[in-house]
Amino acid sequence: MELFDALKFEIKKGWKSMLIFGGVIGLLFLVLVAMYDPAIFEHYNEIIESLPPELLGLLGGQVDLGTFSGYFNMYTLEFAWMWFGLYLILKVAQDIPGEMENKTIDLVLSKPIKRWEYVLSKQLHHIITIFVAVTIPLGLSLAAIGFNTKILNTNVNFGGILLSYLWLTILLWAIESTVLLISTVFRRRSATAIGFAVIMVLWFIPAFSGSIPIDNIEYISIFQYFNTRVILIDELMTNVVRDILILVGWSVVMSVCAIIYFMKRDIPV
Amino acid sequence: MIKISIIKTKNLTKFYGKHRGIENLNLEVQEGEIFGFLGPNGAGKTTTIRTLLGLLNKTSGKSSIFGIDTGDRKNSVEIRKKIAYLPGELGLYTNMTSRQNLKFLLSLYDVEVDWAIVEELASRMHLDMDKKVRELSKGNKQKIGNILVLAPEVNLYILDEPTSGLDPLMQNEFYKILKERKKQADATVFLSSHLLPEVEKVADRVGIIRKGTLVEVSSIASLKKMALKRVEIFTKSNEDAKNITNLLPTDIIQNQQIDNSRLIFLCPTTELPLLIEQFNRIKSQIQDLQITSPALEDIFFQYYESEKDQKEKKK
Repeated sequence: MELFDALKFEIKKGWKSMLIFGGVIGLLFLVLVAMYDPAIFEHYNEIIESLPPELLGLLGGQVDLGTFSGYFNMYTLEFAWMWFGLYLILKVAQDIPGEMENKTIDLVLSKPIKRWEYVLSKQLHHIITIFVAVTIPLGLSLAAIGFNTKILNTNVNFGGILLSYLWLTILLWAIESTVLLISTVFRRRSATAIGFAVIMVLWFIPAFSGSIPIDNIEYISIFQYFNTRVILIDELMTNVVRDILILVGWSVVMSVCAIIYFMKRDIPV
Repeated sequence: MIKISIIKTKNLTKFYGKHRGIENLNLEVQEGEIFGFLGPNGAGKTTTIRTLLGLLNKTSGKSSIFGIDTGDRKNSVEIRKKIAYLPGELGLYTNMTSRQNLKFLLSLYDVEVDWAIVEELASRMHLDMDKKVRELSKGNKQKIGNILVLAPEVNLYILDEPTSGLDPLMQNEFYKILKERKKQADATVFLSSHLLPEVEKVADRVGIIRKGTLVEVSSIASLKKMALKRVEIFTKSNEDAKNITNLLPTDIIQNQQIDNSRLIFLCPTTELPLLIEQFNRIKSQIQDLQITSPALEDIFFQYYESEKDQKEKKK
């Protein structure tokens, strides 16, 4: 099937950057976990408490940095979408528009490959990139936990960490599919700028929803459905499955819209 | 024998917003022929090809390849299985080698392309397959495109400026291989180009496109026949050349120039007998005479003389 030939080629083309990307973020996570010492970080609780509520909202709410779960949630997971997402937005926004601008798309789409197969091969490659890029930091985070006795001595919620990474992977898929749709409509630069803008706006909406005069506006944001503190800090499963399903639904809808639009559009000269 | 139309368009129209790409284009390319598609930049050649390939959605009209409607997305894959297309602006994956580019792009055909053919073509075209594309010259990049169309066994070659950047030897080699491959599969070739001498050498018929509309379809021979002849008269002096000019019937000669003692002009083929009669009267002033068929370029420019020029001429 042409879909898999195209996917194979995408992986061959991008495996190095995929590993470098995962490796760099993995090292960052490794350092963040390895440096954790509850005696040091519990002093930051006062600073966190003094932050304005909107800013605290962006950081995932009030947590106790004296516990590893609170620290891990704030320092890695709440910002993880940014570490991964910024690269992802750049990559996805430039992928299809880049092929259009470089004219490689002409050679590909003049072959017997269906347009949906072409878009899907791109998306599968992005998803594999996300998976690899999340798995390496997960592995290195777990390794760092294993070596940091100050963490091991506490009650570490390994199941919660694994589920949080899965949730993060699905959030990144939602970001990817949103930017994928944008990339099928606009040229490279516009797609990158609009992609960044849309994701940033979606990120700000839940934190600033109180200042926006539209009721329940926070529910239009994908970030509203990413709340790992429920699992890690509260150790509950309230709405977790629902939120994950909403993110999956969002991703599927965005992906289908991207495919439908791409199938109908002109490939410009 | 009834020839089957491989490519057929009826009033095919493509507008980019308000801008015309092609308008009411009627074209028929028959099975087994090499059809030259000529036109300057912006005439609509590439738009025609991209609309036929389904890369662009037509605004109106009909078009089919192998009898299959090109606008039908479901069936367009069936068309593309039997087509090899070389775009005018070749885009390759520059961080990959020629071999990797070819492997990927040829893998998109349903039928596996015989790699021995690819290797043979690369050797005939002197292409280093293991160099990264970004390290290759324009000509060598073009060779990758050429191999890409020549390697698969297809029924229709759609080529947009296929020899751009190639040296004359390689151009000849490309057309030699194309003819071999065409013969093997009894394929049809749709060759879009502005390199007129090239088209002249290989095409059976030529279509000329102007401002998005086909203005002429003809065999190379009849196109030349209906066209002008180029007449060159060599005289002893510049004065003689000027005198001869005064004696020639001004209504049948065009583009008259005097270059030292040489008089050059164009004349319709049908008026040649009249012209030769005139030469008889002034033969003492003529040292040498050459009447040649113009290059396709001369014919071509007749169609492309801009309206502005024509208006100026009328004035």
